[in-house]
Amino acid sequence: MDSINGNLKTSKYFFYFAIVHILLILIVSLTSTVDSYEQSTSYSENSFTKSLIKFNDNILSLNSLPIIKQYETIGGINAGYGFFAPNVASAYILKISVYDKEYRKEYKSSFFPPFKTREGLNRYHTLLGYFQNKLTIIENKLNNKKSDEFEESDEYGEYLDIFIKSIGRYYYKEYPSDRYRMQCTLYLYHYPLLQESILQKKAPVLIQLLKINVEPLKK
Amino acid sequence: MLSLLKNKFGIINTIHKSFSRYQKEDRMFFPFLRISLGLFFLVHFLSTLADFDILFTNEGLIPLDVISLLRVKGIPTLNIIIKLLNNVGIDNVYTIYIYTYIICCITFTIGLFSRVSAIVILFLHIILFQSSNIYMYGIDFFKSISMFYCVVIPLGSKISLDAVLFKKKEYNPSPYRNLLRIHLSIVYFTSGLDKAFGINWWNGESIWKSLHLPGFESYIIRDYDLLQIYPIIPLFIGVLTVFIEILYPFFMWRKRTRNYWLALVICLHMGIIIAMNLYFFGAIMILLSLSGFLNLEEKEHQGANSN
Repeated sequence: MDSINGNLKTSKYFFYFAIVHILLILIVSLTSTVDSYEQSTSYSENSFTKSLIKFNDNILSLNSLPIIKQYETIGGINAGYGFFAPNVASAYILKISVYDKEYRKEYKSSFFPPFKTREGLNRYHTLLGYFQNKLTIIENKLNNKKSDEFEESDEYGEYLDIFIKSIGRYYYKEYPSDRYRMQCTLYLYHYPLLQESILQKKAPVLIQLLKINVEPLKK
Repeated sequence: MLSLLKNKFGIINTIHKSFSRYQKEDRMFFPFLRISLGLFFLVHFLSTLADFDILFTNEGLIPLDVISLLRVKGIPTLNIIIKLLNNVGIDNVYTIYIYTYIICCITFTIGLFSRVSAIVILFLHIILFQSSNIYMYGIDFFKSISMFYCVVIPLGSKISLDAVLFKKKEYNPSPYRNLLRIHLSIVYFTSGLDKAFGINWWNGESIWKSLHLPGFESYIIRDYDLLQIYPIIPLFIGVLTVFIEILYPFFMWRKRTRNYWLALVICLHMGIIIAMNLYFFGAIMILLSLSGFLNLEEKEHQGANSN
C-alpha cells in the first residue's frame, strides 16, 4: 500500500486488477455487439464482415476457457448489454389447459402460473423468452436446415419441451392426476406493428407453435 | 528500444496517476454505494420471497435439478449445496438461505463485517442464479456486478460499524469509483450501439413493441392510442434512447454536462419503470449511475467552516 493522497490509503494492485477486469468487460461487450450487428438489418456479408464474425468466434472461444468463464460469471460480466437490441425480441405465451382424463372436456385454462409478485411474473416472462430458440428449431426443421449452435439443436429443443412439461406437471398439485390431464400450448405473440396499427389493424395475433399433452410422472 | 519502453511505462504511470487521483466529489462514495445497494438487495429479495417456492425450489414450476443442467460448470448451485447439507443432516436449507441472506443485507448496510457480508451475499446470489438461470434477467447480472464490486472495494472503511469498531483507516475512493464509471460507460455505450444497428429503433417500432409486450403492460398508462395518432412520439423516444445511451460516456465524464445527462438517464429509467413495470431493474440502474457520477462531496462541519 502507498499513501499518495494524504491520509487516504490507495492500493497499488487495484489499478492492475482494474485493467484486466476492464479488458474482459470490453471483450464480452465487443462480442455481444458483433452478434447484434450480425442479427441486424444493417448487416451485409462481405470479406470484412466475414473476418469480423470469425474473429468474434475466436474471442468467444477464449471466453469459454476455464477460470475466465467462472471469473466472468462471478463478476457478472459474462453477458453483453444489448438490452432490447438490435430489435425487441418476440414474445411467447404458454397456455395451460386443464382437461378431463381423456382430453375431451376443457375445464379451465390459464396463461400465467400462480405467481404472487410482480418480480415472479417478470422472471416467468424471462423463461418464456427462451422459446425463441424453439421457433428457430421448428423453422430449421421445416427448411431441412442444420445448425451448429447447441441452442438451435434438437437436443436443446427437447430440453425446452421438458420445461413445458414441468410447468404442466406443476398443475397436478392443484388438479389430481386421477381426474385431470394438462395440455400446454405454446404461442408466438404478435402485436400489430405501429404502421399496421395506424391503419386500424389492432388485434394481437397468437400463432400456435406447439401443443403438448402433459402426462403425470409415474410414481 | 529502451526509450520506447520508458515511454510505454510513462504512459502507464500517467494513466495510473490520473486513475488514482483523489477527487473531493468521491468522498462519500463508499457509504453511498454500500447503504444504497444493501437496502436494494434486501428490498428486492423480500419482494420476491412470496414466490421463492415456485421459482427456486425442487417443488417449484420447474425443478432445480432440471434447470441447473444449463449452469456454468465449476460453480456451485443451490441444489448442490442443498444435497451436501442434507448429507450432513441439515434439512431446512431454504430457511437457512433466506435468513442468512436477510441478515447479511442488514450487516452489509450498517457496515458490520462489510466485506464478509458482501462475500456471503454474492455467494448466495450466485448459487441461486446458477441453479435457476432461466429466470434471471438484466437485474440479476447487475446484482452480480454490483456485489462483486462490493467484495473488491473496501466499502467498510467509511461511516460504518467496521470503521468505528476496528478503527479502519480510510481508503481513497477515487480509483474504485473510476472503475465503476468506466464499467457503466461501456454498459451504456454498447447498449446504445447495439440498438443503433436495429432499424426499428429509428422508426418507433421498437418502442411500440416494448410497450405492448404481454406481461409488461403498464399499471399507470392504460392505452397508447396517442402514439398511433402521433407516430413521431415513439420515433422520438426511440432515437432519444439510442442517443442518451451512446453519448453516456461523453457527457457523464464532463463535469459541466454531468448533472444534465444524469437527469436524462434517470428519466429514461423512470420511463421504463412506468411503462413496463420493471421497477427493480430501473432502480438498480439509477442507483449505479448515481453511485458513479453524483457529486458525493462530504459537507464540511459548521465548526470546520468557522475555523
